[in-house]
Amino acid sequence: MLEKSTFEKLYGEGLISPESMEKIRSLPAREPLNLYWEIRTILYAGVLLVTGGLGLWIYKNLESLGHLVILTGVALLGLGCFVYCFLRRAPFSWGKSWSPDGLFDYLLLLGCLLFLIFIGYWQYAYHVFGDRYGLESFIPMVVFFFCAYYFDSMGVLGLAISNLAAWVGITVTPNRLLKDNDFNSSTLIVTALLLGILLLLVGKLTQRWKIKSHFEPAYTNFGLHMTFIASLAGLFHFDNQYGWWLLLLSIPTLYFYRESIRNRSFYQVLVLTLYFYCGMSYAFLRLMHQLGMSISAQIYAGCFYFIGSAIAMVYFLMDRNQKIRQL
Amino acid sequence: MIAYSPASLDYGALRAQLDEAVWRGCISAGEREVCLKKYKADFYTPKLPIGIGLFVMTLVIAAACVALIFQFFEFSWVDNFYIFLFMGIAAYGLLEYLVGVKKHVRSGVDDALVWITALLLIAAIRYTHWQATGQTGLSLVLLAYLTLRFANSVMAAACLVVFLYLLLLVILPSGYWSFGGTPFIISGVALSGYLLAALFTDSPRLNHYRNCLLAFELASLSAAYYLINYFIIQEVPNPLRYQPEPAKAWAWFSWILTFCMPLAFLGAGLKKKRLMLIRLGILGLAFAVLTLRHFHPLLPAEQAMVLWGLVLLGLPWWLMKYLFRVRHGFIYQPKDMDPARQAGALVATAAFSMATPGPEGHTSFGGGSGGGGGAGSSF
Repeated sequence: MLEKSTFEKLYGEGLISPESMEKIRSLPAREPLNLYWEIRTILYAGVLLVTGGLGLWIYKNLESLGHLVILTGVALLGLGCFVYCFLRRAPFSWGKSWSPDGLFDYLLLLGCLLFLIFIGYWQYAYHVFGDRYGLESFIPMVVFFFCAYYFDSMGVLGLAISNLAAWVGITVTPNRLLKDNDFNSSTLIVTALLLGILLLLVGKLTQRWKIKSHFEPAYTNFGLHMTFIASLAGLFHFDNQYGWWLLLLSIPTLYFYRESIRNRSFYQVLVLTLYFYCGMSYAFLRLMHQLGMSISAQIYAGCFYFIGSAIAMVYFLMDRNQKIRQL
Repeated sequence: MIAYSPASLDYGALRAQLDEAVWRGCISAGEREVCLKKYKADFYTPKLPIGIGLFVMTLVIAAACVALIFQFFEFSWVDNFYIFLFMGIAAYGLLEYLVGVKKHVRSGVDDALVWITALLLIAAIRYTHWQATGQTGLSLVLLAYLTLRFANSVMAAACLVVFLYLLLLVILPSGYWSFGGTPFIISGVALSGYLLAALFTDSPRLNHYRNCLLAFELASLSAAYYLINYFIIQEVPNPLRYQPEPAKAWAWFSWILTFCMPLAFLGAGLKKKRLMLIRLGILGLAFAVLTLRHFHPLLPAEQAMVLWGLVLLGLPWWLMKYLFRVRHGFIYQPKDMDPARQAGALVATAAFSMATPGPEGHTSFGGGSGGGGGAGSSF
């Protein structure tokens, strides 16, 4: 809410133009309260409850209901959502296109989730893909990528990336990235690292070729965390080669450092600092252990290390803040 | 009383106003820069992500210092009280230096040091041989001082919680809830706290403490509802369980308030056009419905979920249509979409994570155990 008295004072001092002041004066004295976030949050909760409830209902009624009835019901609901989105969609563009109404994004999301339920249940009931279980992730992934680009939905793009990762064997949902993945597997670590690099590359190409370039932050964000977490997992897992993995960790660190300066991104500075600090601290503690120091000496050295290194990080962050602001 | 220079705090408020005016297209970016240059104050406030990093690093330094000092005094005769007191005073001294000399204002470092000072000095107080009432009272004085000195919202909310705890200790010297209505009394006091804070929230004289007052209001309302919710009283471990009979006499009252209080929050929020009350009202109602379901499940879980899901899809749909233009002072107007859509992507991925169950020891392409709808070979 703009305080007009503040701007009257600035206007009186000649800091803002009469035209600007007129615009501020023309604003209503008491502006209407925007319930945008509240309504969107309730919609998200609604989609979550419907899809969760339907999944549970199907699971509980597998015996009493016929497979065909369940599949038909889910398919019809999903189809209804897609038909609504298809009829209401904005004309396709490789640039950014806006949602025609507030419900559009959520029905698209609901439709996609129902499609996921449909595919999963279809495989369970009729074993349509045989033993090629990967198709269960692959087909939704293709459909989601298509929907994300065709209907311009960042939410569906997130689901598509999750399915891409699931197809290669990784969970990338933000709340389960660390919990569900067994980062003790060297194959998984390398896969995650490659996937992270691939996502970063796609983000770059998306921007360079101007193919829905506003999707770039989503690719970069998933890629950034995936690359760092995989590098850290490698550092922890390959115990005898932690020095090399620390070097490897410094590659994305340097890359994102340059990117953060180029994009003037304070967020990337924070993320790379925290990930690299974790890796560096682990390597330091591991080195002390390897040197065969006594426990007491390790505690003292560790305390001094954390005090010194954290002070250095404070100065680094303050300096980067200054530098990016001046760009 | 306040440690920060008023000019720096005013500058922050002015910058927020100018940012909003630019976003609304009322003034140009050039005009914004001219105004900011004119009122430039000498202080250090980094961007939020950097502030978070500074906050985390300050906590790391403090934790390492505490560990080092305890390691140093491991076998000495020095009492823990003196160690915590020394470290608390040192942290406070550093805080005053950074704010007074280095001009840190909400830099992350000063916020972290306020927390660290409070924690260390309260730890020192806990090592005194005073009664619990005296310790809690002194902690409250300390928190109130830090709130007034550094206008810290978290300290303001902590003041309310500690005050309610002190009240509990005063009402019930035995340490048990000797009277079933005690939660309602304390809840009433919390509500009074909200009313008192609400009187001053919009006062221009307390402009620098506005966030503290808002945090105090939020804590008061949350505590007021938490204390009377039937689920909390019956299921969450608390001393009330030791007195089952008197508590049961108040059960009906708790049930009424479990539903009526969120409705009152929502009603007051709609009437006064205050988002905090509306949000608390919606959350409280969701909690009330879950409480009812916990004790009296009227429908099987899946049916209730679908039914409520449809209600929650239908209601916003109607609201979006209804609030397409201004009605009774409310509107539904999409905001700047970029951050919202990015956040939406993450929220959607997190919330609907059933879409992507993890692998089961399989990382070959197309060889996972099914990433669709929670179904796979092992479904």
